Amino acid sequence: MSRIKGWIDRLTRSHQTYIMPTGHGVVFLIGIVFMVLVGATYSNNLIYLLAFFLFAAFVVSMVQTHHNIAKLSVEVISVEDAYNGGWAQLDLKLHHSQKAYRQNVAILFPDLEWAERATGQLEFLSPKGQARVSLSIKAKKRGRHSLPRIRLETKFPLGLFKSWRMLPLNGEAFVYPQAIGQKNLSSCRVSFGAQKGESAKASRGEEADFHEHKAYQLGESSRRVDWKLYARKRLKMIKSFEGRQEASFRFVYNESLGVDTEARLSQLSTWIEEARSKKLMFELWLPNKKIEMASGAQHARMSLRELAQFEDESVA
Amino acid sequence: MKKNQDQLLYLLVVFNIVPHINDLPYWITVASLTFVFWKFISDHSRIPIPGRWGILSLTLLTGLGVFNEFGNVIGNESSTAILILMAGLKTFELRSYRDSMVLTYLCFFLLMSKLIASQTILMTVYLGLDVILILALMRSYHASFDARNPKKLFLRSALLIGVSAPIILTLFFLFPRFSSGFGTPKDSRGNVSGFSGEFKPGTISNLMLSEEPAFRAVFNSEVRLHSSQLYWRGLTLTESQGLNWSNPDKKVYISAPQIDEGDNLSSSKGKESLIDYEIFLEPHGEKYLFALDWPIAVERPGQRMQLLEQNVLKNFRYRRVVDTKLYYRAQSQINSAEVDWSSDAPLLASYTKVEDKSSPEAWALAQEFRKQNQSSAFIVKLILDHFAESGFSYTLSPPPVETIDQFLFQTRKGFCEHYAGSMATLLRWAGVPARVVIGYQGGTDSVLQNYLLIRQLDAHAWVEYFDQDKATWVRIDPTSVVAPDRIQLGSQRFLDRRGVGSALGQGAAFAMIDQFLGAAIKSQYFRLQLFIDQAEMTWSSFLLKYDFSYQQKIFKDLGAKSLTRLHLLAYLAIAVALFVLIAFAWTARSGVPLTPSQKLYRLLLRRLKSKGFEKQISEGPKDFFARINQLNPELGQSVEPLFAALMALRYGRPYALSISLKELEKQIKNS
Repeated sequence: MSRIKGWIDRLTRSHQTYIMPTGHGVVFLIGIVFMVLVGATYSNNLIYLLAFFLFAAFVVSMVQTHHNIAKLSVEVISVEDAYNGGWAQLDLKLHHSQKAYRQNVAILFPDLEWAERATGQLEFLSPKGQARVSLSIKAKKRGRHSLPRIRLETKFPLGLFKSWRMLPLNGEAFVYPQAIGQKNLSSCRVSFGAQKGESAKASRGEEADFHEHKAYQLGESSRRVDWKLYARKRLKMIKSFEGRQEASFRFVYNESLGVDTEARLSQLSTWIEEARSKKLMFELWLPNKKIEMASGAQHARMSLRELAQFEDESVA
Repeated sequence: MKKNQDQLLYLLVVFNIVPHINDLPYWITVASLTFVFWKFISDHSRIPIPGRWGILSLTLLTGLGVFNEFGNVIGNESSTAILILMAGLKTFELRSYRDSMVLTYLCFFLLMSKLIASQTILMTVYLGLDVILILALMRSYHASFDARNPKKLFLRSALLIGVSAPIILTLFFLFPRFSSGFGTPKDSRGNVSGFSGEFKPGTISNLMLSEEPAFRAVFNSEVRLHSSQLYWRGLTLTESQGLNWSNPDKKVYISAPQIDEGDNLSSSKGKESLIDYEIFLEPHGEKYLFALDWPIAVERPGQRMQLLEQNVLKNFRYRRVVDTKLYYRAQSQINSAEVDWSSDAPLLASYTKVEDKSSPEAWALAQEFRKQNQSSAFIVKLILDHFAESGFSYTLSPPPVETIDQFLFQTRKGFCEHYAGSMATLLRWAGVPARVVIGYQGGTDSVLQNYLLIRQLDAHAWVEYFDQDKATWVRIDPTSVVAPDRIQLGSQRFLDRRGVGSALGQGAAFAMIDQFLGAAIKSQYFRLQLFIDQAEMTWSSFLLKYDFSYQQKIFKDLGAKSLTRLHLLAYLAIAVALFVLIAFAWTARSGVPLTPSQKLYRLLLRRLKSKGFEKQISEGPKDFFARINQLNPELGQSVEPLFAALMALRYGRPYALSISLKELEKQIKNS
């Protein structure tokens, strides 16, 4: 079975253009045959002529349908990452170098296993032109997926024939685990974050690591004043500390996070999303990889991508 | 955009209903058009359309109406009526693509039923427009960009037809025509013009008002017949009721003989007066076929089944009602002496009977003629003399008479039907077998003089009597005595001369209008009619005659030995396949044109490839050339100047070139 599939795959990989009459095309043909019979019954040349008009249109439209699809190229402009169950946008560029214009090309993904079926439509492509088509794909399986083959299909101009091609797409789509879990980050806290200007230790009530004194200016927060100094020398000076310490978090993959791999990953995903939206620093510890403490969108994306690709080797 | 598509559909339906307006009772077409209009209004306003029950009840109502009108629902006309009403009602239910397609096919049927009845030039143009409309409709569903612009939609659809013209023509000429024996349904009303089987005063004169064509006749160019020789036989009446005659039609009809090209005739005189010709008969709602007196054989070339019949009276008829234009060939013998009348002999006695007791004076007159004991020809002459000398006149609107006595002795004014009817009766009373023949007399030459146009106003009635001495039937036309210019000039000019108005006796007003219009305008109008008739005749004679025997003739002229329908189908399949392949190849060319230097470069590469040096994709031209040089210095040397030249051309130093492109090309080809 798989051998046959392999053989079919090899055939379809050759970027062939296929064409077949549609159901309506078959009915149309039957109608033409009927007309010829009527023409023969009445020996009526005008009815014959009518049948011939329609048959010629049938045949010529076949060529047109074929050419609407042939020599049409597709490239991936960009593909967004998506959460499992969420939407990703796939931008494609369709272009051709023919003098003809093209219309009504449908874009389908027959092999899409990791998302629900997505479809798009290219309505018009000018001669030797290009067009951008944006598709929304609803992901349904986490992972690092290569983009599937695309199927371009058309019934232009008369709907009597359907012509299609399979084309490969270059690119990968990352589908993050679904972000369903607790949003509370407190259990992951590594260090406490101070308010702006405060040291982390101070917010815990401990003495901050002293660095140096700065002159007091009107308007500065009175909390930052070194009152002990003031008591001694009647100088209002601001204490500044080594390094701003913000709250940081550590997200660790362990079994307590959830029932199964997906649940655990979902929890991590939720936290990462929280951290990202609140611009917090975090690090991600997975069994096979550690992502260093950092913050920002790029960091979050990298982490989420790791989650997307994660495979729990401990699970049998 | 659905609105656009729907509107196209409405247009299609209306376009296909309108031609039927005059063919069916008005309520049918008006009802259907009302439905479409209703839906159209409903689309643009708040007026609702009928719901499911409403549509159902409308369907039943109209169906009953059709049944009431025609007595059935499956006849020719009733089915057209049903189709029209269904199309109108279907516009209320246009939800899916499939609904639209069903409606389209309904319109196809309507179109076909119209084409069956009429094949004029106008209908051909109409056919083309209808096809474009249908293609535009289908296109609107699958070319959404075009669909926004109706003009583009129609233009591109017309273009599709234009592009497929070669295929259409090939199909038309090569597709083998079949002749089938499927019958047509019964209730064809057809165009009821012309006469039915009864004959009484008024039968013929009623037709004088109509300029409608009855049929057209095409003779061989060598044949020259005078108007007075053109008697077209339609129906022979054998039962006399005095002025009225009838044909009980109990005579048996048998298959008409086919035209014998070999001419197995004994006497050469017979051969001279034997004439072959073609008839193009307009639909007239009856079965009669018209042919020149005296018809010997008729045939429809290429028809497997013989649908033409004849009886002993030399009446020919079609097996079905003539409800569409009919083409047939006929052969007639002008010289009565050469005609074989033997099948008639047993019936001669019946041709002397008269069922009329109401005219004793006429009967007495006939007995006087009989007493003279002369030949039948003499009796005929006596009757004609009587007509000529006793103050008889020929008029289109004679005073009404009921008996021969009234006509012969009181009014003495009559039309051809009076004269023919009374003369034949008188002959019978005088013991001479006689009968009345009705048909047409005369005909008008066409503009190009390649056919004769016979119209309803050429309708005529005359007499045949049996001459015992010669043992043949002889035609005698009393009108030739009473109104000779009718026969000599033909009906049209006769009417023009007399002035139709006055001939019709319609009163002073009409006569004045007649005079006002003036003969000049009328003759111009008539010439225009003839012009149009010529065009129509050329077109429809082609359409009617193009059948399998015609196709065989064409191929025979081209030299093919024998041709079966299978041959034709095979040629056709090959031709269509060829077209498709050419179309694919033609449009599959790359859209980017190459410059001459690029072409030459490719040519060089191809030549080198044939010698075994293929340029890799990763190699630039210089590297490629270097490689050649390395592997085969000799080749490299000869190729070097060519390469240099091509590179110079490509990279822009054309003035540095010492040889022209053509030289370059030659050198490349020769290397």
